[in-house]
Amino acid sequence: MLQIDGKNRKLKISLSYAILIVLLVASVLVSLLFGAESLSLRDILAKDGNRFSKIIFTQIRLPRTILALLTGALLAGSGAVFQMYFRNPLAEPGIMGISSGATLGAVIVSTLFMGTVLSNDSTNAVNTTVRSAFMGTVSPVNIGAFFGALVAGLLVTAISNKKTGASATVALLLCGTALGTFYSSLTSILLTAKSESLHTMYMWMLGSFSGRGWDEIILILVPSAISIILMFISCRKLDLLSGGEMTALSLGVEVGRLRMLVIIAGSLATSAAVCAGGTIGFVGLIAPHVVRRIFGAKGKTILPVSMVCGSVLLLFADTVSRVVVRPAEIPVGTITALLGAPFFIMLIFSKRGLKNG
Amino acid sequence: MKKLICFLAALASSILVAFAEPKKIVVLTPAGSEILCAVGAYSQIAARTDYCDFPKEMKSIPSVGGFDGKTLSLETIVACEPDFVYGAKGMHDYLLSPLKKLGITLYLSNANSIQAVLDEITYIGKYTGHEDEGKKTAVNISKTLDNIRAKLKNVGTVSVYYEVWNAPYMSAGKKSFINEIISTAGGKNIFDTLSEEYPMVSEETIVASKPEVFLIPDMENETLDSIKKRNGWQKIPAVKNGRIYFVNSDVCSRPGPRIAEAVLLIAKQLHPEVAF
Repeated sequence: MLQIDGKNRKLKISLSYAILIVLLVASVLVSLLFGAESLSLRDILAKDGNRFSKIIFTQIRLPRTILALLTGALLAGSGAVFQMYFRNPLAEPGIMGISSGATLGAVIVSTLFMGTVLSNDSTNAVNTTVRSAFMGTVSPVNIGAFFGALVAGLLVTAISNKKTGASATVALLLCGTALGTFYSSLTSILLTAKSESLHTMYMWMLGSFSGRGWDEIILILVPSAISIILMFISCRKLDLLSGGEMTALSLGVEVGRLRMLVIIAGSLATSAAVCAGGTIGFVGLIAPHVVRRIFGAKGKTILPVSMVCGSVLLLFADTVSRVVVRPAEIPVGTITALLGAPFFIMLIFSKRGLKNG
Repeated sequence: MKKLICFLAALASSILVAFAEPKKIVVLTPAGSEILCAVGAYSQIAARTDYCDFPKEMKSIPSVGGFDGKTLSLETIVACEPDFVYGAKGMHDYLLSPLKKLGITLYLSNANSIQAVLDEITYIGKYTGHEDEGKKTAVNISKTLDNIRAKLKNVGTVSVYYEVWNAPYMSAGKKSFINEIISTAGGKNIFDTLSEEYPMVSEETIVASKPEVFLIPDMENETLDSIKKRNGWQKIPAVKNGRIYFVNSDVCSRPGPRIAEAVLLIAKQLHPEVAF
């Protein structure tokens, strides 16, 4: 009986892998083929075809597809790592206050350094230096978000170092949540004080890949790579943690070190993701759950498969956000929740999903 | 708009002593303070907000807080003992019931078109006891606008991309005030098909529409250089030909007496070949 189940299960899992790969390819293709403007394949491939079609494809659509792919992977990956480390199903990239830190960083830049006085030479000088330091057209707001997330991550790491032992995890979780609330209230204060930027910053907070391109990809490439490597290093040890910290300790896992690793990897990933797409919710929460239900709970599997799942989800969501109301757009963060939530609830109640392994 | 004016006028006359002009006005919008000053009601203004900064003499009037409804202090407003509060719809609606209880008239401006602004100027002039100045101001604006329209009669339109924000890209839709300013100035907003006031827009469409001119409010700290560096934007006619103009966002976004100035400002940039 058990053997038959095992065989069945294996078959199901390999089928699921196949479906996932098909979905990934499909989502990339859909993202490349559909947009506000309809581009003909011939124009894109032609050496001297319609130049605007080619420009739109190579300079706007292609980098956006890459960004969505990468961001989805980063968000889902950090969500997976956090969920495994905290052994808490609600953990997601925002849980350590990192997303709120990113928002605060973005709002600080937009309210204190931008849009005040154009005639003021010193502001312009600062603006130009900031720009030239980070090259290209990356919006200062997104750079602010990147550093906001990074600082929030470092702060939480520093705090996590202060406490050791079994209570450290819970303390960290609580501190992260408290800090997140703290950042959010600072954000609200800044936005009420500078209410002109309320509308634009609200749109930024909903998350979107609009206005992002190759420059953002270059900027986040190194942090993304580092964070992905760190996540993979930590995930083997995270498996041992599933039996509890005591068991892990007895198995020789240095829990304190692992904690550092997880937080650094997670905050780097979230910083990069926020810089690329603003604060996009839900992907980091649901992707690991979907994977756990379908593929089982091994860290080795959860991390990479969650990343693929996150990419698929974000690629589809971004395509929807670009196409449904064209030539206008919908913030992608609203789409991820809109599409993701019902699917997620369905999954939780479906009996077909495999039990946690 | 007219219905609202009639309704508020009726409300005002029923609550207040009939037809007595207000002596203490608290103005909550930059456009409102410009209108009051234009019709000659400056001396009746008791308080303003931090953003009511034009004309210059407005700055010497005490402030009751920021622009957004929630950053205003109701206590400070009431402490001025106003008989008329001048706000904007969508921004100050929440003041309606507390002020009504205190017997203070609240006027909520809903001027989202040039004609509505002219009507408002005439109405506010009359309401504050400056009927002639109000009428004169409105007529002068109309005349200037007619002049501009006449000069643009035989000139083609120029396609325009108006950038509200760049992360994400946001522009102005059909219902926005700036859309009418652009079209009056002989331009065609590439996003005038969108019904939202300030929609998030597709970068692909910005490039594909090949706008001839970019108008960028000076509030957004973009520079010519930073826009030229945007990936894929170099071939857009406006960028290629260097027709990127930074417009004074105060003049162009306030539905007040400077609308003719705004139209002229933009018309000159869209049509340098015409002598205005």
